[in-house]
Amino acid sequence: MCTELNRDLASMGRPMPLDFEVIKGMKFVDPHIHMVSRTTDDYQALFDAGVLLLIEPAFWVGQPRTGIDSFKDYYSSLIGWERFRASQFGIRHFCTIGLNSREANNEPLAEQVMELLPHFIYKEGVLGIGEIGFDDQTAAEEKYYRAQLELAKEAGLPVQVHTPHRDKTRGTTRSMDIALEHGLDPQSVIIDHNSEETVKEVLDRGFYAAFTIYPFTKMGNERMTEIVKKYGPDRIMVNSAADWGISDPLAVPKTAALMVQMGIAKEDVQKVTYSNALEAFQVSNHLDLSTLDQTFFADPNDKYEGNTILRGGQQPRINKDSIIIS
Amino acid sequence: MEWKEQVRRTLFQQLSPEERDYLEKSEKEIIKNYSNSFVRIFSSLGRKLSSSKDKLVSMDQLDDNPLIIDNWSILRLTRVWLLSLIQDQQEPYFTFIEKLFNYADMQELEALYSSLNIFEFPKIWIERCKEGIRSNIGLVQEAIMEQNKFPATYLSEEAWNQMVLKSFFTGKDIKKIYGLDKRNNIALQNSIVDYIYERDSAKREIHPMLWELAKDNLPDRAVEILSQQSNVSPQLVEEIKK
Repeated sequence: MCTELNRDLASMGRPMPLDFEVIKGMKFVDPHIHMVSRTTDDYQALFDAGVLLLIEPAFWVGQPRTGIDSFKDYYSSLIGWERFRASQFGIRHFCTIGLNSREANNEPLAEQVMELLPHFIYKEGVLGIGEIGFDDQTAAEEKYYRAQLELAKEAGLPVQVHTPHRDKTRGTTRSMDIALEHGLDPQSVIIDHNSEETVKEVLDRGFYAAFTIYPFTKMGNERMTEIVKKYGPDRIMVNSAADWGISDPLAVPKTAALMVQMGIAKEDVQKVTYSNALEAFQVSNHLDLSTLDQTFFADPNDKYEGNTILRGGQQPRINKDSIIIS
Repeated sequence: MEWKEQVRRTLFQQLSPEERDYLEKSEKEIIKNYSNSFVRIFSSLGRKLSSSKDKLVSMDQLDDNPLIIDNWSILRLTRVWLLSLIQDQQEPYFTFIEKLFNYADMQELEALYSSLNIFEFPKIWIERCKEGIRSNIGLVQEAIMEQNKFPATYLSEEAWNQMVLKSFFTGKDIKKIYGLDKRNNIALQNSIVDYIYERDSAKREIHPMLWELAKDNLPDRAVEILSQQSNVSPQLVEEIKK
Protein backbone atom coordinates (compact mmCIF):
# COMPACT_ATOMS: atom_id res chain seq x y z
CA MET A 1 0.00 0.00 0.00
CA CYS A 2 1.23 3.48 -0.65
CA THR A 3 2.22 6.22 1.46
CA GLU A 4 2.53 9.85 2.16
CA LEU A 5 4.91 11.52 -0.22
CA ASN A 6 8.03 12.91 1.34
CA ARG A 7 10.28 13.76 -1.49
CA ASP A 8 13.79 13.97 -0.25
CA LEU A 9 16.07 14.67 -3.15
CA ALA A 10 19.06 13.48 -1.18
CA SER A 11 17.49 10.04 -0.98
CA MET A 12 17.04 9.73 -4.74
CA GLY A 13 20.42 8.10 -5.30
CA ARG A 14 22.96 8.50 -8.06
CA PRO A 15 21.52 8.07 -11.51
CA MET A 16 22.63 4.86 -13.18
CA PRO A 17 21.78 3.99 -16.75
CA LEU A 18 19.12 1.33 -17.20
CA ASP A 19 20.53 -1.70 -18.95
CA PHE A 20 18.11 -4.56 -19.47
CA GLU A 21 20.65 -6.48 -21.57
CA VAL A 22 22.04 -8.07 -18.42
CA ILE A 23 18.67 -9.59 -17.53
CA LYS A 24 17.70 -10.70 -21.01
CA GLY A 25 16.03 -14.11 -20.91
CA MET A 26 15.38 -13.91 -17.17
CA LYS A 27 11.84 -14.37 -15.91
CA PHE A 28 10.12 -12.25 -13.29
CA VAL A 29 7.13 -12.24 -11.00
CA ASP A 30 5.92 -9.06 -9.33
CA PRO A 31 4.16 -10.40 -6.24
CA HIS A 32 2.67 -7.07 -5.20
CA ILE A 33 1.41 -4.54 -7.74
CA HIS A 34 -1.89 -2.64 -8.01
CA MET A 35 -2.70 -2.76 -11.70
CA VAL A 36 -6.15 -1.19 -11.31
CA SER A 37 -4.20 2.05 -10.86
CA ARG A 38 -1.87 1.54 -13.81
CA THR A 39 -2.03 2.09 -17.55
CA THR A 40 -1.69 -0.13 -20.58
CA ASP A 41 1.81 1.34 -21.13
CA ASP A 42 2.77 -0.28 -17.85
CA TYR A 43 1.45 -3.66 -18.92
CA GLN A 44 3.46 -3.47 -22.13
CA ALA A 45 6.59 -2.37 -20.28
CA LEU A 46 6.19 -5.19 -17.75
CA PHE A 47 5.86 -7.73 -20.50
CA ASP A 48 8.86 -6.36 -22.38
CA ALA A 49 10.97 -6.55 -19.24
CA GLY A 50 10.14 -10.22 -18.70
CA VAL A 51 7.41 -10.08 -16.05
CA LEU A 52 5.31 -13.20 -16.71
CA LEU A 53 3.02 -13.15 -13.73
CA LEU A 54 1.87 -10.64 -11.18
CA ILE A 55 -0.07 -10.67 -7.95
CA GLU A 56 -2.44 -7.84 -7.12
CA PRO A 57 -3.37 -7.66 -3.46
CA ALA A 58 -6.68 -6.04 -2.60
CA PHE A 59 -5.88 -2.64 -1.07
CA TRP A 60 -7.09 0.77 -0.11
CA VAL A 61 -7.96 2.51 -3.37
CA GLY A 62 -6.83 5.98 -2.29
CA GLN A 63 -10.02 7.13 -0.64
CA PRO A 64 -12.27 5.24 1.73
CA ARG A 65 -15.13 3.18 0.37
CA THR A 66 -18.48 4.05 1.92
CA GLY A 67 -20.53 0.99 1.06
CA ILE A 68 -20.27 -2.75 0.71
CA ASP A 69 -21.04 -2.73 -3.00
CA SER A 70 -17.83 -0.81 -3.69
CA PHE A 71 -15.92 -3.64 -2.07
CA LYS A 72 -17.88 -6.24 -3.98
CA ASP A 73 -17.26 -4.54 -7.30
CA TYR A 74 -13.59 -4.04 -6.50
CA TYR A 75 -13.08 -7.72 -5.66
CA SER A 76 -15.04 -8.67 -8.78
CA SER A 77 -12.79 -6.51 -10.90
CA LEU A 78 -9.70 -8.24 -9.50
CA ILE A 79 -10.96 -11.64 -10.67
CA GLY A 80 -12.70 -10.28 -13.75
CA TRP A 81 -11.87 -7.23 -15.76
CA GLU A 82 -8.33 -6.63 -14.49
CA ARG A 83 -7.43 -10.27 -14.98
CA PHE A 84 -8.73 -10.14 -18.51
CA ARG A 85 -6.93 -6.85 -19.19
CA ALA A 86 -3.63 -8.40 -18.08
CA SER A 87 -4.17 -11.43 -20.29
CA GLN A 88 -4.46 -9.18 -23.32
CA PHE A 89 -0.88 -8.14 -22.67
CA GLY A 90 0.38 -11.68 -22.20
CA ILE A 91 0.63 -11.41 -18.42
CA ARG A 92 -0.89 -13.83 -15.95
CA HIS A 93 -2.78 -11.98 -13.28
CA PHE A 94 -3.49 -13.34 -9.82
CA CYS A 95 -4.71 -11.57 -6.72
CA THR A 96 -5.10 -11.83 -3.00
CA ILE A 97 -8.41 -10.82 -1.46
CA GLY A 98 -8.79 -9.18 1.91
CA LEU A 99 -9.88 -6.22 4.01
CA ASN A 100 -7.00 -3.76 4.21
CA SER A 101 -5.96 -2.32 7.54
CA ARG A 102 -7.08 1.26 6.97
CA GLU A 103 -10.64 0.31 6.15
CA ALA A 104 -10.76 -2.20 9.00
CA ASN A 105 -11.24 0.92 11.12
CA ASN A 106 -14.74 1.45 9.72
CA GLU A 107 -16.24 -1.31 11.82
CA PRO A 108 -19.83 -1.37 10.55
CA LEU A 109 -18.53 -1.70 7.00
CA ALA A 110 -15.74 -4.10 8.00
CA GLU A 111 -18.34 -6.47 9.42
CA GLN A 112 -20.09 -6.59 6.07
CA VAL A 113 -16.81 -7.08 4.22
CA MET A 114 -16.02 -10.08 6.42
CA GLU A 115 -19.28 -11.66 5.28
CA LEU A 116 -18.36 -10.98 1.69
CA LEU A 117 -14.85 -12.46 1.73
CA PRO A 118 -15.79 -16.17 1.70
CA HIS A 119 -17.60 -15.59 -1.60
CA PHE A 120 -14.35 -14.54 -3.23
CA ILE A 121 -11.43 -16.40 -1.72
CA TYR A 122 -12.07 -19.67 -3.56
CA LYS A 123 -12.37 -18.09 -6.99
CA GLU A 124 -10.13 -18.73 -9.97
CA GLY A 125 -7.18 -16.36 -9.79
CA VAL A 126 -7.24 -15.86 -6.02
CA LEU A 127 -4.01 -17.07 -4.43
CA GLY A 128 -4.61 -16.05 -0.83
CA ILE A 129 -5.73 -13.46 1.70
CA GLY A 130 -4.14 -10.02 1.43
CA GLU A 131 -3.03 -7.43 1.98
CA ILE A 132 -4.07 -7.42 5.61
CA GLY A 133 -2.40 -6.38 8.85
CA PHE A 134 -1.70 -3.17 10.70
CA ASP A 135 -1.60 0.46 9.67
CA ASP A 136 -2.33 2.61 12.74
CA GLN A 137 -2.21 -0.49 14.94
CA THR A 138 -5.69 0.11 16.37
CA ALA A 139 -7.90 -2.39 18.15
CA ALA A 140 -10.18 -2.62 15.11
CA GLU A 141 -7.23 -3.39 12.84
CA GLU A 142 -6.18 -6.18 15.17
CA LYS A 143 -9.71 -7.59 15.32
CA TYR A 144 -10.03 -7.93 11.55
CA TYR A 145 -6.45 -9.06 11.07
CA ARG A 146 -7.17 -11.93 13.45
CA ALA A 147 -10.51 -12.73 11.80
CA GLN A 148 -8.86 -12.92 8.39
CA LEU A 149 -6.03 -15.10 9.67
CA GLU A 150 -8.68 -17.52 10.86
CA LEU A 151 -10.29 -17.41 7.44
CA ALA A 152 -6.94 -18.14 5.76
CA LYS A 153 -6.30 -21.03 8.11
CA GLU A 154 -9.71 -22.52 7.45
CA ALA A 155 -9.30 -22.19 3.69
CA GLY A 156 -5.66 -23.31 3.69
CA LEU A 157 -4.52 -20.20 1.86
CA PRO A 158 -1.33 -18.11 2.09
CA VAL A 159 -1.50 -14.66 3.70
CA GLN A 160 0.10 -11.45 2.47
CA VAL A 161 0.73 -9.16 5.45
CA HIS A 162 1.07 -5.40 5.09
CA THR A 163 3.31 -3.89 7.77
CA PRO A 164 2.83 -0.31 8.98
CA HIS A 165 4.87 2.73 7.99
CA ARG A 166 4.85 4.19 11.46
CA ASP A 167 6.32 2.18 14.27
CA LYS A 168 7.24 -0.46 11.71
CA THR A 169 9.50 -2.73 13.71
CA ARG A 170 7.08 -3.15 16.59
CA GLY A 171 4.16 -3.56 14.14
CA THR A 172 6.02 -6.25 12.22
CA THR A 173 6.86 -8.23 15.35
CA ARG A 174 3.28 -7.98 16.51
CA SER A 175 1.95 -9.12 13.12
CA MET A 176 4.10 -12.26 13.33
CA ASP A 177 3.22 -12.93 16.98
CA ILE A 178 -0.47 -12.86 16.14
CA ALA A 179 -0.08 -15.08 13.06
CA LEU A 180 1.72 -17.70 15.14
CA GLU A 181 -0.82 -17.36 17.92
CA HIS A 182 -3.53 -18.31 15.40
CA GLY A 183 -1.58 -21.38 14.43
CA LEU A 184 -0.51 -20.32 10.94
CA ASP A 185 2.52 -21.95 9.40
CA PRO A 186 5.07 -19.14 8.88
CA GLN A 187 5.90 -20.74 5.51
CA SER A 188 2.45 -19.68 4.31
CA VAL A 189 2.77 -16.09 5.52
CA ILE A 190 4.47 -13.37 3.50
CA ILE A 191 5.49 -10.39 5.62
CA ASP A 192 5.63 -7.42 3.29
CA HIS A 193 7.38 -4.04 3.17
CA ASN A 194 10.43 -5.13 5.17
CA SER A 195 13.44 -2.99 5.90
CA GLU A 196 16.97 -3.53 7.20
CA GLU A 197 15.45 -3.26 10.67
CA THR A 198 12.88 -6.04 10.30
CA VAL A 199 14.39 -8.59 7.94
CA LYS A 200 16.43 -10.60 10.41
CA GLU A 201 13.58 -11.37 12.76
CA VAL A 202 11.22 -12.23 9.91
CA LEU A 203 13.63 -14.74 8.41
CA ASP A 204 14.69 -16.14 11.79
CA ARG A 205 11.08 -16.90 12.63
CA GLY A 206 10.57 -18.79 9.37
CA PHE A 207 8.34 -16.32 7.48
CA TYR A 208 8.79 -15.11 3.92
CA ALA A 209 10.23 -11.59 3.77
CA ALA A 210 8.99 -9.38 0.93
CA PHE A 211 10.58 -6.02 0.13
CA THR A 212 8.88 -3.19 -1.66
CA ILE A 213 11.12 -1.24 -3.98
CA TYR A 214 9.27 2.07 -3.94
CA PRO A 215 10.94 5.42 -4.51
CA PHE A 216 11.33 7.92 -1.70
CA THR A 217 9.31 6.14 0.98
CA LYS A 218 10.24 2.45 1.05
CA MET A 219 13.27 0.40 -0.01
CA GLY A 220 15.70 1.49 -2.68
CA ASN A 221 17.18 -1.24 -4.82
CA GLU A 222 20.79 -0.48 -3.87
CA ARG A 223 19.88 -1.17 -0.25
CA MET A 224 18.01 -4.25 -1.43
CA THR A 225 21.10 -5.56 -3.13
CA GLU A 226 23.02 -5.22 0.12
CA ILE A 227 20.31 -7.13 1.98
CA VAL A 228 20.51 -10.08 -0.40
CA LYS A 229 24.29 -10.05 -0.13
CA LYS A 230 24.00 -10.16 3.63
CA TYR A 231 21.10 -12.61 4.13
CA GLY A 232 21.25 -14.72 0.97
CA PRO A 233 18.38 -15.35 -1.46
CA ASP A 234 16.19 -17.78 0.50
CA ARG A 235 12.65 -16.75 1.49
CA ILE A 236 13.28 -13.20 0.24
CA MET A 237 11.33 -11.59 -2.60
CA VAL A 238 11.04 -8.13 -4.09
CA ASN A 239 7.97 -6.33 -5.39
CA SER A 240 7.05 -2.89 -6.70
CA ALA A 241 3.77 -2.25 -4.86
CA ALA A 242 3.23 0.16 -7.77
CA ASP A 243 -0.09 1.95 -7.34
CA TRP A 244 -1.61 5.43 -7.73
CA GLY A 245 1.40 7.12 -6.15
CA ILE A 246 4.80 7.84 -7.63
CA SER A 247 6.01 4.29 -7.94
CA ASP A 248 7.82 2.14 -10.46
CA PRO A 249 6.10 -0.87 -12.03
CA LEU A 250 9.49 -2.04 -13.33
CA ALA A 251 10.98 -2.20 -9.84
CA VAL A 252 11.42 -5.98 -9.98
CA PRO A 253 13.32 -6.23 -13.29
CA LYS A 254 15.30 -3.08 -12.46
CA THR A 255 16.34 -4.53 -9.13
CA ALA A 256 17.30 -7.78 -10.85
CA ALA A 257 19.46 -5.83 -13.33
CA LEU A 258 21.15 -3.97 -10.51
CA MET A 259 21.78 -7.16 -8.56
CA VAL A 260 23.36 -8.82 -11.59
CA GLN A 261 25.55 -5.76 -12.14
CA MET A 262 26.54 -5.80 -8.48
CA GLY A 263 27.77 -9.35 -8.78
CA ILE A 264 24.95 -11.42 -7.28
CA ALA A 265 24.67 -14.78 -9.05
CA LYS A 266 21.85 -14.89 -11.59
CA GLU A 267 20.49 -18.01 -9.94
CA ASP A 268 20.12 -16.12 -6.67
CA VAL A 269 18.62 -13.11 -8.41
CA GLN A 270 15.99 -15.40 -9.95
CA LYS A 271 15.09 -16.68 -6.52
CA VAL A 272 14.31 -13.23 -5.15
CA THR A 273 12.65 -11.93 -8.31
CA TYR A 274 10.84 -15.05 -9.54
CA SER A 275 10.78 -18.44 -7.88
CA ASN A 276 10.46 -17.56 -4.18
CA ALA A 277 7.25 -15.67 -4.89
CA LEU A 278 5.79 -18.59 -6.87
CA GLU A 279 6.63 -20.89 -4.01
CA ALA A 280 5.38 -18.63 -1.21
CA PHE A 281 2.02 -18.00 -2.89
CA GLN A 282 1.75 -21.69 -3.88
CA VAL A 283 1.06 -20.75 -7.49
CA SER A 284 1.54 -24.35 -8.61
CA ASN A 285 -1.85 -25.14 -7.02
CA HIS A 286 -3.41 -22.92 -9.66
CA LEU A 287 -1.23 -23.17 -12.72
CA ASP A 288 1.13 -25.65 -14.32
CA LEU A 289 4.37 -23.73 -13.82
CA SER A 290 5.96 -25.36 -16.85
CA THR A 291 3.48 -23.43 -19.02
CA LEU A 292 4.32 -20.09 -17.45
CA ASP A 293 6.73 -18.88 -20.07
CA GLN A 294 4.59 -20.09 -22.98
CA THR A 295 2.89 -16.92 -23.97
CA PHE A 296 0.12 -17.35 -26.43
CA PHE A 297 0.65 -14.47 -28.73
CA ALA A 298 -0.87 -13.90 -32.03
CA ASP A 299 0.94 -11.64 -34.41
CA PRO A 300 -0.85 -8.31 -33.91
CA ASN A 301 -0.76 -7.79 -37.66
CA ASP A 302 -2.23 -11.18 -38.40
CA LYS A 303 -5.71 -10.93 -39.81
CA TYR A 304 -8.51 -13.39 -39.46
CA GLU A 305 -11.49 -12.71 -41.66
CA GLY A 306 -10.52 -9.09 -41.82
CA ASN A 307 -10.15 -8.74 -38.07
CA THR A 308 -7.03 -8.31 -36.07
CA ILE A 309 -6.63 -11.24 -33.74
CA LEU A 310 -6.32 -10.01 -30.19
CA ARG A 311 -7.95 -12.81 -28.32
CA GLY A 312 -5.62 -13.77 -25.53
CA GLY A 313 -2.87 -12.15 -27.48
CA GLN A 314 -0.99 -8.96 -27.63
CA GLN A 315 -2.61 -5.59 -27.92
CA PRO A 316 -1.39 -3.44 -30.81
CA ARG A 317 1.32 -0.92 -30.00
CA ILE A 318 1.07 2.77 -30.52
CA ASN A 319 4.09 4.44 -32.04
CA LYS A 320 5.42 6.56 -29.21
CA ASP A 321 7.83 8.39 -31.51
CA SER A 322 5.10 9.75 -33.73
CA ILE A 323 2.70 12.62 -33.15
CA ILE A 324 0.28 10.91 -35.53
CA ILE A 325 -2.52 8.91 -33.92
CA SER A 326 -4.29 6.63 -36.35
CA MET B 1 -31.16 -39.71 -25.79
CA GLU B 2 -31.80 -36.46 -24.03
CA TRP B 3 -29.10 -33.80 -24.54
CA LYS B 4 -28.29 -33.63 -20.83
CA GLU B 5 -27.53 -37.31 -20.77
CA GLN B 6 -25.37 -36.94 -23.88
CA VAL B 7 -23.41 -34.12 -22.33
CA ARG B 8 -22.96 -36.12 -19.17
CA ARG B 9 -21.69 -39.11 -21.11
CA THR B 10 -19.32 -37.02 -23.21
CA LEU B 11 -17.92 -35.38 -20.10
CA PHE B 12 -17.48 -38.53 -18.12
CA GLN B 13 -15.54 -40.12 -20.97
CA GLN B 14 -12.95 -37.36 -20.71
CA LEU B 15 -12.44 -37.34 -16.95
CA SER B 16 -10.08 -39.33 -14.80
CA PRO B 17 -11.71 -41.94 -12.50
CA GLU B 18 -11.25 -39.70 -9.43
CA GLU B 19 -12.75 -36.73 -11.22
CA ARG B 20 -15.67 -38.88 -12.33
CA ASP B 21 -16.31 -40.05 -8.79
CA TYR B 22 -16.19 -36.49 -7.57
CA LEU B 23 -18.71 -35.36 -10.17
CA GLU B 24 -21.07 -38.23 -9.48
CA LYS B 25 -21.04 -37.34 -5.82
CA SER B 26 -21.54 -33.66 -6.63
CA GLU B 27 -24.42 -34.46 -8.97
CA LYS B 28 -26.23 -36.26 -6.18
CA GLU B 29 -25.62 -33.44 -3.73
CA ILE B 30 -26.95 -30.81 -6.13
CA ILE B 31 -30.05 -32.79 -6.98
CA LYS B 32 -30.72 -33.41 -3.31
CA ASN B 33 -30.22 -29.84 -2.11
CA TYR B 34 -28.59 -27.44 -4.53
CA SER B 35 -28.73 -24.39 -2.28
CA ASN B 36 -26.38 -25.99 0.23
CA SER B 37 -23.83 -27.45 -2.11
CA PHE B 38 -23.84 -25.68 -5.44
CA VAL B 39 -21.64 -22.62 -4.81
CA ARG B 40 -18.83 -24.69 -3.35
CA ILE B 41 -18.92 -27.29 -6.13
CA PHE B 42 -19.27 -24.70 -8.89
CA SER B 43 -16.49 -22.39 -7.67
CA SER B 44 -13.90 -24.96 -6.70
CA LEU B 45 -14.36 -27.04 -9.84
CA GLY B 46 -11.12 -25.83 -11.43
CA ARG B 47 -9.16 -27.33 -8.57
CA LYS B 48 -11.12 -30.58 -8.55
CA LEU B 49 -10.71 -31.18 -12.29
CA SER B 50 -7.11 -30.07 -12.36
CA SER B 51 -5.96 -32.76 -14.80
CA SER B 52 -8.77 -32.42 -17.37
CA LYS B 53 -10.16 -28.93 -17.06
CA ASP B 54 -8.36 -27.40 -20.05
CA LYS B 55 -8.99 -30.27 -22.47
CA LEU B 56 -11.23 -29.22 -25.34
CA VAL B 57 -14.40 -31.02 -26.24
CA SER B 58 -16.86 -30.80 -29.15
CA MET B 59 -20.18 -32.54 -29.67
CA ASP B 60 -22.28 -33.38 -32.69
CA GLN B 61 -24.86 -30.72 -33.37
CA LEU B 62 -28.22 -32.38 -32.96
CA ASP B 63 -31.17 -30.05 -33.46
CA ASP B 64 -32.69 -30.70 -30.08
CA ASN B 65 -29.50 -29.76 -28.26
CA PRO B 66 -29.95 -26.26 -26.86
CA LEU B 67 -26.15 -25.89 -26.72
CA ILE B 68 -23.57 -25.58 -29.46
CA ILE B 69 -20.53 -27.28 -28.00
CA ASP B 70 -17.54 -26.70 -30.21
CA ASN B 71 -14.09 -26.63 -28.63
CA TRP B 72 -15.33 -25.93 -25.13
CA SER B 73 -13.03 -26.57 -22.22
CA ILE B 74 -14.03 -29.42 -19.93
CA LEU B 75 -14.28 -26.86 -17.13
CA ARG B 76 -16.82 -24.80 -19.05
CA LEU B 77 -18.93 -27.77 -20.14
CA THR B 78 -18.91 -29.30 -16.66
CA ARG B 79 -20.09 -26.05 -15.13
CA VAL B 80 -22.87 -25.75 -17.71
CA TRP B 81 -23.93 -29.30 -17.00
CA LEU B 82 -23.92 -28.65 -13.24
CA LEU B 83 -26.14 -25.60 -13.82
CA SER B 84 -28.58 -27.79 -15.73
CA LEU B 85 -29.10 -29.86 -12.58
CA ILE B 86 -30.63 -27.00 -10.61
CA GLN B 87 -34.41 -27.17 -10.38
CA ASP B 88 -36.67 -24.88 -8.42
CA GLN B 89 -39.63 -22.49 -8.57
CA GLN B 90 -39.06 -19.39 -10.65
CA GLU B 91 -38.34 -16.91 -7.88
CA PRO B 92 -35.78 -18.83 -5.84
CA TYR B 93 -34.27 -20.17 -9.07
CA PHE B 94 -33.78 -16.68 -10.45
CA THR B 95 -32.43 -15.24 -7.19
CA PHE B 96 -29.95 -18.08 -6.81
CA ILE B 97 -28.55 -17.94 -10.32
CA GLU B 98 -28.43 -14.14 -10.38
CA LYS B 99 -26.25 -14.35 -7.30
CA LEU B 100 -23.91 -16.72 -9.10
CA PHE B 101 -23.54 -14.10 -11.83
CA ASN B 102 -22.88 -11.34 -9.32
CA TYR B 103 -20.03 -13.15 -7.56
CA ALA B 104 -18.54 -14.93 -10.55
CA ASP B 105 -14.93 -15.01 -11.71
CA MET B 106 -14.19 -14.89 -15.43
CA GLN B 107 -14.40 -18.62 -16.14
CA GLU B 108 -17.60 -18.85 -14.10
CA LEU B 109 -19.07 -15.98 -16.11
CA GLU B 110 -18.19 -17.79 -19.30
CA ALA B 111 -20.06 -20.89 -18.13
CA LEU B 112 -23.02 -18.92 -16.81
CA TYR B 113 -23.53 -16.99 -20.03
CA SER B 114 -23.01 -20.15 -22.07
CA SER B 115 -25.95 -21.60 -20.12
CA LEU B 116 -28.50 -18.91 -20.96
CA ASN B 117 -30.28 -21.24 -23.34
CA ILE B 118 -30.59 -24.07 -20.85
CA PHE B 119 -31.79 -22.06 -17.88
CA GLU B 120 -35.37 -22.61 -16.82
CA PHE B 121 -37.90 -19.80 -17.49
CA PRO B 122 -35.97 -18.44 -20.50
CA LYS B 123 -37.65 -15.04 -20.70
CA ILE B 124 -36.42 -13.96 -17.28
CA TRP B 125 -32.82 -14.14 -18.59
CA ILE B 126 -33.22 -11.61 -21.39
CA GLU B 127 -32.02 -8.69 -19.25
CA ARG B 128 -29.05 -10.73 -18.04
CA CYS B 129 -28.14 -11.53 -21.63
CA LYS B 130 -28.21 -7.82 -22.52
CA GLU B 131 -26.07 -7.06 -19.49
CA GLY B 132 -23.51 -9.60 -20.65
CA ILE B 133 -23.37 -8.05 -24.12
CA ARG B 134 -22.31 -4.80 -22.42
CA SER B 135 -19.33 -6.57 -20.78
CA ASN B 136 -15.85 -5.68 -21.90
CA ILE B 137 -14.41 -9.08 -21.05
CA GLY B 138 -13.74 -11.07 -24.21
CA LEU B 139 -14.65 -14.43 -22.68
CA VAL B 140 -18.06 -13.13 -21.65
CA GLN B 141 -18.77 -11.55 -25.01
CA GLU B 142 -17.80 -14.73 -26.82
CA ALA B 143 -19.92 -16.92 -24.56
CA ILE B 144 -22.99 -14.95 -25.66
CA MET B 145 -22.19 -13.90 -29.19
CA GLU B 146 -20.59 -17.08 -30.50
CA GLN B 147 -22.26 -20.48 -30.57
CA ASN B 148 -25.15 -19.52 -28.33
CA LYS B 149 -28.75 -20.06 -29.37
CA PHE B 150 -30.28 -17.80 -26.72
CA PRO B 151 -29.84 -14.35 -28.34
CA ALA B 152 -31.38 -15.32 -31.68
CA THR B 153 -34.32 -16.95 -29.93
CA TYR B 154 -35.15 -14.38 -27.27
CA LEU B 155 -33.62 -10.95 -27.89
CA SER B 156 -35.72 -8.10 -29.23
CA GLU B 157 -34.69 -6.71 -32.59
CA GLU B 158 -33.03 -3.74 -30.96
CA ALA B 159 -30.97 -5.87 -28.57
CA TRP B 160 -30.10 -8.33 -31.31
CA ASN B 161 -28.82 -5.58 -33.56
CA GLN B 162 -26.78 -4.14 -30.73
CA MET B 163 -25.17 -7.53 -30.20
CA VAL B 164 -24.35 -8.07 -33.86
CA LEU B 165 -22.80 -4.62 -34.21
CA LYS B 166 -20.81 -5.08 -31.03
CA SER B 167 -19.51 -8.41 -32.29
CA PHE B 168 -18.02 -6.58 -35.29
CA PHE B 169 -16.56 -3.83 -33.10
CA THR B 170 -14.94 -6.35 -30.79
CA GLY B 171 -13.53 -8.63 -33.47
CA LYS B 172 -15.65 -11.70 -32.90
CA ASP B 173 -15.89 -14.69 -35.20
CA ILE B 174 -19.02 -13.46 -36.97
CA LYS B 175 -19.79 -16.78 -38.65
CA LYS B 176 -20.26 -18.31 -35.22
CA ILE B 177 -23.23 -16.06 -34.41
CA TYR B 178 -26.23 -18.38 -34.34
CA GLY B 179 -29.23 -17.16 -36.33
CA LEU B 180 -27.34 -14.37 -38.09
CA ASP B 181 -29.19 -14.72 -41.41
CA LYS B 182 -32.53 -15.49 -39.90
CA ARG B 183 -32.52 -12.43 -37.65
CA ASN B 184 -31.17 -10.04 -40.30
CA ASN B 185 -33.36 -6.93 -40.60
CA ILE B 186 -33.52 -3.51 -42.21
CA ALA B 187 -32.64 -1.57 -39.08
CA LEU B 188 -29.49 -3.68 -38.72
CA GLN B 189 -28.64 -3.19 -42.37
CA ASN B 190 -28.99 0.59 -41.98
CA SER B 191 -26.65 0.58 -38.99
CA ILE B 192 -24.18 -1.52 -40.92
CA VAL B 193 -24.21 0.90 -43.83
CA ASP B 194 -23.47 3.72 -41.38
CA TYR B 195 -20.60 1.66 -40.00
CA ILE B 196 -19.27 0.98 -43.50
CA TYR B 197 -19.23 4.75 -44.20
CA GLU B 198 -17.38 5.41 -40.97
CA ARG B 199 -14.76 2.73 -41.67
CA ASP B 200 -14.34 4.02 -45.20
CA SER B 201 -13.85 7.62 -44.04
CA ALA B 202 -11.27 6.47 -41.51
CA LYS B 203 -9.56 4.41 -44.25
CA ARG B 204 -9.92 1.33 -42.09
CA GLU B 205 -10.59 -2.14 -43.31
CA ILE B 206 -14.22 -3.19 -43.84
CA HIS B 207 -15.15 -6.66 -42.63
CA PRO B 208 -16.44 -8.74 -45.59
CA MET B 209 -19.35 -10.07 -43.53
CA LEU B 210 -20.72 -6.52 -43.29
CA TRP B 211 -21.43 -6.60 -47.03
CA GLU B 212 -22.96 -10.03 -46.74
CA LEU B 213 -25.44 -8.78 -44.15
CA ALA B 214 -26.32 -5.48 -45.79
CA LYS B 215 -26.28 -6.64 -49.40
CA ASP B 216 -30.04 -6.27 -49.96
CA ASN B 217 -30.11 -2.71 -48.76
CA LEU B 218 -27.06 -0.87 -50.05
CA PRO B 219 -27.34 2.78 -51.14
CA ASP B 220 -25.30 3.95 -54.14
CA ARG B 221 -22.52 5.36 -51.98
CA ALA B 222 -22.05 1.98 -50.31
CA VAL B 223 -22.02 0.18 -53.66
CA GLU B 224 -19.32 2.60 -54.81
CA ILE B 225 -17.24 1.80 -51.70
CA LEU B 226 -17.79 -1.89 -52.28
CA SER B 227 -16.33 -1.69 -55.76
CA GLN B 228 -13.04 -0.50 -54.22
CA GLN B 229 -12.75 -3.42 -51.82
CA SER B 230 -10.15 -6.11 -52.30
CA ASN B 231 -11.30 -8.52 -49.60
CA VAL B 232 -14.76 -9.28 -50.98
CA SER B 233 -15.50 -12.21 -53.27
CA PRO B 234 -16.24 -11.28 -56.89
CA GLN B 235 -19.45 -13.34 -56.72
CA LEU B 236 -20.77 -11.18 -53.92
CA VAL B 237 -19.94 -7.99 -55.82
CA GLU B 238 -21.74 -9.37 -58.88
CA GLU B 239 -24.74 -10.39 -56.83
CA ILE B 240 -25.05 -6.94 -55.26
CA LYS B 241 -24.63 -5.03 -58.51
CA LYS B 242 -27.46 -6.96 -60.15
